Amino acid sequence: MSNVHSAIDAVFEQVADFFSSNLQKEIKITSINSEALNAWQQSWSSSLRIPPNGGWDWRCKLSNASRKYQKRLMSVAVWGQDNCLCGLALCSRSKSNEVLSVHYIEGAPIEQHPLTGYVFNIINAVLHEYSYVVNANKIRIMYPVKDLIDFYNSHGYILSKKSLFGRPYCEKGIER
Amino acid sequence: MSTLLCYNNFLSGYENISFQEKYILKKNNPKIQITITAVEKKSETSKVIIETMIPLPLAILLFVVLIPVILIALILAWPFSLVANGATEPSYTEAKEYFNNGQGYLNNLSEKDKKELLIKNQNIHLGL
Repeated sequence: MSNVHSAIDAVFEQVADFFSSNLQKEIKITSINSEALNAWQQSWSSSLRIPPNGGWDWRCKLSNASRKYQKRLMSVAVWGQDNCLCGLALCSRSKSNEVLSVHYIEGAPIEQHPLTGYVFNIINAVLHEYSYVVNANKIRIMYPVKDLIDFYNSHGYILSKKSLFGRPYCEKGIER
Repeated sequence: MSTLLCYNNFLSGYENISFQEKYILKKNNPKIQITITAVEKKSETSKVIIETMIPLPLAILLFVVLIPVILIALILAWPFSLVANGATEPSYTEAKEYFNNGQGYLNNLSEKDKKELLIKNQNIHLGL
C-alpha cells in the first residue's frame, strides 16, 4: 500500500469531517488497508451473509480489483467509534474519469454498530465529493443487490435498462 | 501514417473488444456472420461496432489475406496507445486547496440536501 497521499485521501478527510461534526460521532475514512482487512477478518467473521448478498471475501475482492483497476481503484473503509469497522466499498473510476462505479458495498454485520444507518450515506458522499474532484458525471452501482434497488432508487440511482457485460447497474447523473 | 493514427484514435475510445462469428450453413450458400463488440470508455456501455454477413469462401480468403495485415497494423499501432494514457486525478494538495476554496459537493449542499444526507436509514439490507 502506498503512503503517498492522493486526492481520494483529501476526499476521505473532507467527508469524515463533515459527518463527524454534523452527527457528533467519531468517524474515520481510509482505504481498505491491512488494518481494515484485519478488522474485517476479526469482527465480520460471524456474518451469515452469502454472496451476492454481502458476505464477500474482501481480501480476495481487493486483490482482484487492484489487479484489474490499478490506479483507478478506490477502496473505502468507514470506521466508527473505538475503531469499529462499519463499512467497506470497492469502487473504480473509468479511464476517462467520467464514470465512478461501485462494485461492492457492505456494512458491518453487527446489529447495532456505531454508524448503523449511515454507512451508505457516508460512502455515497465520498463518491459525490470525488466526482467533483475528478469531474466525473455519473456514478454507477454495479450488480445491485435486488433488495437494495428501491433504497438506491430513493437516493437517485435509477436501475438502467442497459447492462454492462450482462450485469445490471443503477446509475445517477451528477449535476453541478 | 495518418490512417494508422486514425485507427489508433478510434481504438483508444474503446476497451474489451470482442469478436464473435456464427456459421449459417445453407445449401449452395454457406455464410458467416461476424459481430465485433466493444465497450466505449466514455460511457462504459457495450456497442456493436461491426455486424456483417459474408459468404464463407470470401471469409476464408479474407482470413488468409487480411488477418496478417491487421496483426501488423495492431503491432505498429501499439506504441501509440501507450502515449494515449487515461485521465489522471489531481494531487492531494490540489484537492485540499479545492475544498479550502469552498468548492466541492459538501461545501455547496443546500440545507435540504444536507438534512437528507444526515438522516439515518432504518433497517437497510447489508447493514448500510
